[in-house]
Amino acid sequence: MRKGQWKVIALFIAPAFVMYGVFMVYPYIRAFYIGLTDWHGVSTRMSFVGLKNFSTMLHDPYFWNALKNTVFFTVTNGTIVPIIALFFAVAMSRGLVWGSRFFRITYFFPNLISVVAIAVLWSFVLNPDFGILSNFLRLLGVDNPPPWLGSVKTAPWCIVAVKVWAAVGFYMILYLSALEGIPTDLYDAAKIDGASEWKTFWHVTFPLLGEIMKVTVVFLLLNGFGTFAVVKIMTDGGPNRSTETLATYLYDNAFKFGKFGYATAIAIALFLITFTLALLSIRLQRRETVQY
Amino acid sequence: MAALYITSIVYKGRGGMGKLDERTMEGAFFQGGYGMEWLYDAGREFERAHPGYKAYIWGNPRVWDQTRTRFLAGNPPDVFWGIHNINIWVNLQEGLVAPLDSLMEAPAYGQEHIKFKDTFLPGALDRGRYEGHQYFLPITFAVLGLWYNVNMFEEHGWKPPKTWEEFLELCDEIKATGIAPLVHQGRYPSYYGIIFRALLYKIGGYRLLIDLDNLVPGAWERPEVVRAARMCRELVDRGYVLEGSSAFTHTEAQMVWLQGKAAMVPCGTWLENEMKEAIPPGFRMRIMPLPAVPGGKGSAEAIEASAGADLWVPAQAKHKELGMEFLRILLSKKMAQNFVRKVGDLMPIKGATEGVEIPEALQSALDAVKAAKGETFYMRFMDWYEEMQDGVNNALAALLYEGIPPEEFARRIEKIAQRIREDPTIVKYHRELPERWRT
Repeated sequence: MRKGQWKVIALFIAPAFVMYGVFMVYPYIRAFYIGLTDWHGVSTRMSFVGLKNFSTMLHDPYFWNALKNTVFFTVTNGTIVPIIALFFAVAMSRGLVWGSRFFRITYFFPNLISVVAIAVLWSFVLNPDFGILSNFLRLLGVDNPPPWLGSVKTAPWCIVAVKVWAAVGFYMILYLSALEGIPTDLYDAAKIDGASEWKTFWHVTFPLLGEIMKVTVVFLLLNGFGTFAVVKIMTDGGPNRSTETLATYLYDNAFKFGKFGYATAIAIALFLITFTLALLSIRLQRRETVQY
Repeated sequence: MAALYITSIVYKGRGGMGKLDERTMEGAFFQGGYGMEWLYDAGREFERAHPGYKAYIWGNPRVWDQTRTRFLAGNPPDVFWGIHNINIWVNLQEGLVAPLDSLMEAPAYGQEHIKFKDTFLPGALDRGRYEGHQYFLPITFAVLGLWYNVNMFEEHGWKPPKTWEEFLELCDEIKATGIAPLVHQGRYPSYYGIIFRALLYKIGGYRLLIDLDNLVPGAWERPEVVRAARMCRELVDRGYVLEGSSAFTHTEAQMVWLQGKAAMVPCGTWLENEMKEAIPPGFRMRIMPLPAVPGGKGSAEAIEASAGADLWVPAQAKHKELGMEFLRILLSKKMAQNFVRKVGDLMPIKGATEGVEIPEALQSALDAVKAAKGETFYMRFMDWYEEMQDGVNNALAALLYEGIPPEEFARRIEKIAQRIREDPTIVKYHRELPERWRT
């Protein structure tokens, strides 16, 4: 680095740094304070209430219900998405299907649409009166298709289905690119040894995907715990709170009930849970990276 | 660079406010089914009445979310109406709302011989009053009940029922023709709440509603509440409610009803306006009250009707007097008649319907109120306590879609009521039995 060059670098970085500080770092720090107040979010008046919001939270059945639902979405999404995405990715990269380029684009397509549009679209599909799903089932002779988003039994699974549909393409592409990094001679060797496709997957492909798996687990954790838009639009947490997540519950507390202090406390809890889990998952997966 | 950002922000702010000066009144309003035209009209009337002054009127469906930061910064508009996400009672407690006492005593616009406060329909100002002061003014007088498809009813010779027995018989007859007797806006259980609240009144009379609103200990667990819940559930169990209703949004359910797939739908007088674009030619709608129930205290004609708590003047507004003056004009007899003409809905102002052609739907609501002979009722827990509203809605969803026992339904709500009673941070409200019931 030439002498004095750091000044130029600092000059270019400074605006972004200031913006980041003002719009990201400061609000995050500020949030920890707001979580200790009774702020209503409509005037500047706020009084310090200590840890009261947190003790309220521990005794709030709706908080636990929202946490339970959030964990449900994270776990289901986090297991179903990698399995399907990996299956598609392997099928395509190993040339097991014809027209893989077409499928690659099709499966990735949901990522090009905004989540809001996806949620609205699926609300139409799942409408019990004019939705294509129910009408298709009627065509097949099903008399009373369930009301999908209108029943506590089906609504959570509908949310899972939409989340999976929206996410699979992205993870498929991640896995595909990782798969393409695996040297073909390993496969040739497996072939010479007479390994079946299944054996090849378990003993060659899967172990070599370790790095990308680590990344996707963290992604899926963040994605699952942040579940908001799909739920907000498709069910608004209903029926009877069966799909309410921490993110929608804290939104309602802040913007509907005027309890910004309490909502911020929930947000802090959400942050701590996600952060801890992400750290844990990285730590648990820490092992020798396979070199090839 | 930073300086550039800051100046651009400042100038952007100025640009937006450029139209505002000392002689401009700014009004920000919820933009919804009523459109904006009636507000612009009132703005023009304001400018005519006060030459040299300007009315800057704007609207948005999310007006409260948009202006919240301005309220925080102490720079709110001069008159305000928000619906989405707003909790006006929190705002009142936080000191955001100016009392309108001087406006109430002012002479009415266009009828200077009477006071502004005396131009409202009886009881219309109740909801906006708190501790003896008027803070909020109503826009509409809403009547809530069951809307029926008039052509369908006439074709089959069906009549609005007077008793619960007749109602069940009617539903059986409708069901026999392959049409669903009822559809409801299941995504938002509050619409089924119209049926629930009416049953509460018909069973327990006004005293019960008052106790429920006041969260009297144990009130929400009384046998009357359990009975109302059981009757709500009965309609579902007998197969009178269209399958899939639980998943419908309000417009979807109302659409299904307009298509003739169901005969009745619970809603308020805004229904016709909300569905304006979708009403098939020749479709006729009328409202009816829920029927009387055996041994109940309310008559068959009694119907839910109330004027809202909508319009207010922000306490920190630059031109509070101009904001109030705009309200005086907006809620004048002249503008109320214009409202009926343009929007087809009713302002709670005396003489609002004089010389105006009333659409059949609205007329049926006026007829229903007349037939009730003063026996109109409404509840307030929903606007006082968001959590109570939320809790009742969720309990209704559990009752109707999951089939929890009515006793459990009542227990769940009482538990929420208890939580609110015991939470010192929640401001408690109280209402008295309206005078004409105190006998």
